[in-house]
Amino acid sequence: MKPTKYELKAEPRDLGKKNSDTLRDEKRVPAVLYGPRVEENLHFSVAEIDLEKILSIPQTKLQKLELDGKEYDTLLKRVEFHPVTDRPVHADFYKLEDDIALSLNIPVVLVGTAKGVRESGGRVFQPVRRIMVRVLPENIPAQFEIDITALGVNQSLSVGDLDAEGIEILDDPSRTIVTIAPPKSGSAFSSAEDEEELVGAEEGEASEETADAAEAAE
Amino acid sequence: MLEPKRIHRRRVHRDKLRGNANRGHQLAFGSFGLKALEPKFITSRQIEACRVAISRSLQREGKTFIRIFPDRPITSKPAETRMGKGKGTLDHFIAVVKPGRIMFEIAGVTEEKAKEALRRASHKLPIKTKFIKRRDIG
Repeated sequence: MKPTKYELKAEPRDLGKKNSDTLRDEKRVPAVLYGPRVEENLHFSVAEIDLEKILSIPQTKLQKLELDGKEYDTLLKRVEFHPVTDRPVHADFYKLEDDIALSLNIPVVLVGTAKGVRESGGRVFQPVRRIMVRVLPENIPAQFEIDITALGVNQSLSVGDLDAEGIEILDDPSRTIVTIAPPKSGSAFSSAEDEEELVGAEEGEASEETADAAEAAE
Repeated sequence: MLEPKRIHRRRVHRDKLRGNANRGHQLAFGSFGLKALEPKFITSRQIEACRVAISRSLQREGKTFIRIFPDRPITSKPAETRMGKGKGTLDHFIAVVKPGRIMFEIAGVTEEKAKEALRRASHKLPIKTKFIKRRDIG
């Protein structure tokens, strides 16, 4: 599936912290355009609402950027967010060249309900949401759709199982994309005794989770 | 309760809690999260209380990720003790939380369930928080 190209109107901007802050007050996001054949980076701003629309779609983010009467085919490469307000602070656009391959992350979307969930009450975990690939601009996929309907409990799909013709996948083929975990034993807390047992049992799990998180964060 | 397995020093200086979080301010594992809006030391007891609140609310569904770890030792002096005679003994551990820090994440549940679980968790914390979700979720 080809990704949708969003039309984005940009206005040139002046450089500097004060100018950028003024733009942000006007709900515009300072941005930059660069690429392998762009001699001098172009600085401009885009409307925050337009950028949010692009960010809210789980697809590869391609645009037709209109700046100073010229049109550029671009990829939204990177967006910086404010740590507290979560508003976009700055955006990087990459100018696509037809004959130059580029590396980018493609979103992974799960399709269907897994057999293990339907029949055994398993839980779907998707540790990988994006896959790093290297492609020519004309072959950029919108997303990788993975059908999980046949997956049973304790079964998983890895990067190597992806059907990606004409796309060079840079991630490790053994990396797990989705796994169906067995249902947790027991149900809701019924009595005080059960509750205590349950809390005790979960303690080990909590530390595991934290360790996983810390490891991945590094 | 979470605490380090071993520590380098039992008595360390306290952080000054200036500025916003430079890292750990975006969702990394789950689809929903609880973000701190104020700076504060969060104790391991408070983290544990949040974890229990979340797990009881989710009824063993989904997966919870704790994104902060109480690695800082805090000392205290015994009750009714005169000042002096050296620094107190190790009392508990805290995590330094700055505005923007995502403290908890949840994956594999609906938005309503995640919101309710994190709302309950937020009541166990001494700071203002906000519920956040991944941008590409409707």
